Amino acid sequence: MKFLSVYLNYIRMFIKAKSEYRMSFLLGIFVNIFDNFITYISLWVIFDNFKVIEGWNFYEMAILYGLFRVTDAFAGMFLWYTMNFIDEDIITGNLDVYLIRPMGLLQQMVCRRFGETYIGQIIVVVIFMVYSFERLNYTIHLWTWLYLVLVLISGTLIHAAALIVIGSLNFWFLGAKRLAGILYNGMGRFTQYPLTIFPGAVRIVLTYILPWALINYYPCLVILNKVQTTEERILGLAAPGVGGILFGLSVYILNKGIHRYSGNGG
Amino acid sequence: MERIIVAERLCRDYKVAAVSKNMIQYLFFRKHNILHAVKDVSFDINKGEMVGFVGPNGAGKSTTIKMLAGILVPTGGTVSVLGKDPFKFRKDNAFSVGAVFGQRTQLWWDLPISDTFLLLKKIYNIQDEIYEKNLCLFKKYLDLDSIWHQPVRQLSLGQRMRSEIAAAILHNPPLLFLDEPTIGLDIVAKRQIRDFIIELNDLYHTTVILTSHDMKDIEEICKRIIIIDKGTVMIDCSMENLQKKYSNSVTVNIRFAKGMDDLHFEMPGVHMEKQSESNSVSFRVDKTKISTGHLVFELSKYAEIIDIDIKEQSVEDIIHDIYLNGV
Repeated sequence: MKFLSVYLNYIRMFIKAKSEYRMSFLLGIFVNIFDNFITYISLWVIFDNFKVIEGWNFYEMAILYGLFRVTDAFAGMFLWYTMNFIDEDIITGNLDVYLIRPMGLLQQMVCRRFGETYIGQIIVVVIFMVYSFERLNYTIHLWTWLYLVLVLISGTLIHAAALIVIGSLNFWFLGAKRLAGILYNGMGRFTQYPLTIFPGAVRIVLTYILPWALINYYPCLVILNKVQTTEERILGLAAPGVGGILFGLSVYILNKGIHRYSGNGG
Repeated sequence: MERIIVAERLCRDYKVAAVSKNMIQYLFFRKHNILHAVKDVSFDINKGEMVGFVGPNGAGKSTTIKMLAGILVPTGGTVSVLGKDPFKFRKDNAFSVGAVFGQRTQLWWDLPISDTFLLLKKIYNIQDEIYEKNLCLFKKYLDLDSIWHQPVRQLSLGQRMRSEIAAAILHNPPLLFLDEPTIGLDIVAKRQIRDFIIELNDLYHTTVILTSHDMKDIEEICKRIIIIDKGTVMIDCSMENLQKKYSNSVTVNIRFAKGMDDLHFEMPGVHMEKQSESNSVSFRVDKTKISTGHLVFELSKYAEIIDIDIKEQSVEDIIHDIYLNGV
């Protein structure tokens, strides 16, 4: 509870500080809206030609992709701007200032910078997702609501875990954030499409090694009634729990990293 | 006396990559050297003491302070701050420690300090009365009133440093680390900060550990000095004793009744410097070799002496000698 109150105070201060640079604040959000809108448009262009890919139509795809992007935005709002630039704090020694505060490093990272640009991403994705559910004539049952909420939380935690692990690696070798490129630009691209269009190896990697597919693909199979195999059913039902486990693991790695920092002096 | 810090045989090593001319070797098969930044440092600090940590650049002062603050783990030895291991109980420790690292900031760049202070109040759970009382104190001694609503980025270095110090002690920590708090400040700002630290110690009995390269800071604030060089404690004594024990020369200014342009005076342990005024001469006397009295007696043979002025070596000079020649 105390953390929440501190966090809200930080957000208030953040907005106050940002309002000094109003144009940059609004521009950041606008660019983000534009970027995300373009991605959806390009998806739409593809579907205008193909109509259906592997049994998925545009609206289903919009939900699939949306689930990935909206959880990415939630995690980014909390952590992107601090975790992705933790190497600078390590090099300049600014991390010392955090270590003399009576709050955990992760909590301070969440507080320090509110990722306001992600608001744009959330707006666009939610609009497209709601619109797609409408067009599919999809009636959402109570348990689907519940499942959706859990999957959103779990997906956010998986994204957060990825940010924390990559950030923490900087304690071992600086410049670890280049690895984020593999995760987001490389493997992240696959999440736009149903997993079945890719070769088996990609499917295994995205399911069991870098479990991006547990954020959106398997939950979508459950939500859109597309489950066919037992494996898919198990993974779909496991998806809401995976986030917590991975997040816990990432916090463990972060703490190891802080130990190492204190052990090495950066 | 309550001991607030106990450090016993503290050591801190760093692994440093050995420079190699062969780039391939440097990239892939790097050898490491062990650098002993701090070795076998022991000291106790009592509640309410004001201690100056002094030493040349790279002597291990900051490393020691970081170990006391719980930022670094010692590679050897033990340290306890208020009875606890500062690293294991870092968050507890944070409530009782305030720190200013002169080169870093904990203020919010785009906001006035009033906002940063409100956040700190939340983070440290500072009660309203204590908060208000401290703000009054800051406004009185640190002149924060005039800059209260100005964004930090518009503040001068002196104004910013005063704010940093205020931010570090907002939660009334019994222990305060100041790592070069006066670096780059003008005389007025320096004096204001010194006066405030002394006032703080009077008022709250705050224990202060101060590092500075300005010996004036140390002289005016600290009652005790710890000189660190090459990672070890060279001297740990009161400021008075420093002057008594380690000052080995005095400057004696003597005014004679007549002009002394043709004076040729030689004596072991005495170095003569003629002044622009022809009847006054100054002598630097090595106290280990000759007493001032003896010098004056010898000089009185040459001419009548009107005035004698003896100047003890300044702290800065004493420490300069220690840096150069060791203890």
